[in-house]
Amino acid sequence: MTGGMTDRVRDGVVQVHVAPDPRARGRHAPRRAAEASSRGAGVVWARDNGSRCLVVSNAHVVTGHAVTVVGIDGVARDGELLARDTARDLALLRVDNVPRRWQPVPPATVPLRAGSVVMAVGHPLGVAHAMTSGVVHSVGPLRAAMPLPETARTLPWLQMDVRLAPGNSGGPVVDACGHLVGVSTMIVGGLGLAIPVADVDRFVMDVHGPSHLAHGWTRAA
Amino acid sequence: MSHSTPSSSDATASPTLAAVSEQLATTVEQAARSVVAVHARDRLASTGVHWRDGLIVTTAATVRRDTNISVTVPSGTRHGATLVGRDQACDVAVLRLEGDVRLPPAALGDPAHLRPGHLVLAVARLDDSGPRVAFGAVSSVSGAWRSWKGGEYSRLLQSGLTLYPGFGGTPLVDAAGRVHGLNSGGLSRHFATTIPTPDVERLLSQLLATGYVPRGWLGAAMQAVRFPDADTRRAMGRDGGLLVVGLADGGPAARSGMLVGDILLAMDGGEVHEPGDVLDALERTAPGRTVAFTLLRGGTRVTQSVLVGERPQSTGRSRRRSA
Repeated sequence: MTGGMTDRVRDGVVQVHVAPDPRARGRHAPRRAAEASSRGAGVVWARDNGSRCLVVSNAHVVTGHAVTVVGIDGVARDGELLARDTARDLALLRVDNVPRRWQPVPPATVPLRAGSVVMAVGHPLGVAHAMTSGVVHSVGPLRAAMPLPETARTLPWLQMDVRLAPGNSGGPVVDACGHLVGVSTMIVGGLGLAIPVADVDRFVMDVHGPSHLAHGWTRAA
Repeated sequence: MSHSTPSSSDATASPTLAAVSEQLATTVEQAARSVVAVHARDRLASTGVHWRDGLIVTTAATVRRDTNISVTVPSGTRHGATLVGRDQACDVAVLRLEGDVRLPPAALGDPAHLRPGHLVLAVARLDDSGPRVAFGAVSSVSGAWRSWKGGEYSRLLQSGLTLYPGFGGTPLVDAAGRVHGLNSGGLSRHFATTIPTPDVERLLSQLLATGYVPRGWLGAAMQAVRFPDADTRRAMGRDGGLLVVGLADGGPAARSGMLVGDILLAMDGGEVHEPGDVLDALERTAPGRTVAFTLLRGGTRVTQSVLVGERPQSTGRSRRRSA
């Protein structure tokens, strides 16, 4: 009953590969080959009327400037890192000359409630463009006992009863209509945590500026 | 930048899932009106259900103190509560909400109607920040069983829910909002196990009446043994019995004259083969009643009467294999 909707969402999801920063040496250099290349997911946030995309991911995924973005069609493009916010763990990439199939995941119009169905799309454990479903556990700051620094704990989080895995980071969380409600970011105490779409939008607006986005950019799929 | 409305194909592709989502969220909202946070241990709160008449039901394992207990109600205010009683064996505790706080009673369902695959929710409350939810499906249902703590239940009800910290005492809610029991994290390692609603009702009544659940007790440790020789097996018409391997000092069995080495064959005429058979029979036996054991003592069949005592209240932490 959701095949068409999920296909459209997956068109707006990319893999984000980041080559190790050649300037990172000494104790900052990756210790193992597995750490040499950081991988995660990203979501097409907007697209202009040409063939440029803005892609949102996590700051902890985009750890360098040599970024390759791969769509569901297997097409790979270089991504230009526009901004990183390590406090909110977000990164914004611009990707040029992308195929028509790469379409934004439109933002949700209905507020989430505890119990609402949500789906995360990403590449958990390397399985590309996989979908994981569950419900909203709670929305708001994490409870006091959660093992996270105070500054991160008290941010608003979309807390989900959804089994995320490494590789989901930076990918979209959508509601039952396939509309963007958050960006998968971490797993704490078994809960999947996503940055609410309002915070994602604020970050993009702060970075890119409403004036940049005023003409020609669209978030409709 | 433009925010367009969803395309028409969106509207036709997923109305069903959107409707399911709305239904689940509405179910949570309604069920949460009788779900409270219980503060009866250090650090993390647990969840309780307002069953009826100001009575809150939660799991016994999460009620670590007898006094200084409080409850956060759905409106976010915190109120005192008193411990009515608890049963560690069945992992149920009952609290009475103090003061003039009005909450709707839980909408109780009949777990006999649940089948594997039915969608279920656990609705928690840990503080004043709103309900918390876990979602899954019923994974198995079967008949009466006894937990490792010695608690007896009318039905086994397990589901694929994640019981997050503080989810002990959450109601198991079906998609229509009916409460089928209390979820306990302590009954099974791999699945969320639910104390069925009829058992909660039974324990609630008992705890209101006496503050604890009296259970028959013999003070005898026993294990199943097989008769070593074929002649005995043929003569007795059975393979073995229950060897008494230990007796509590001054316990009911010891006082009545049972001996270590006796092999129990029957209790009140019903054959016993496993320790669980004796435990089951004791569940139906009020303390103070006399039961007749048929047993083998030195190769001779004898009848031994035992005045059933009352099972001492356990801390709930020790694994008991005696009856």
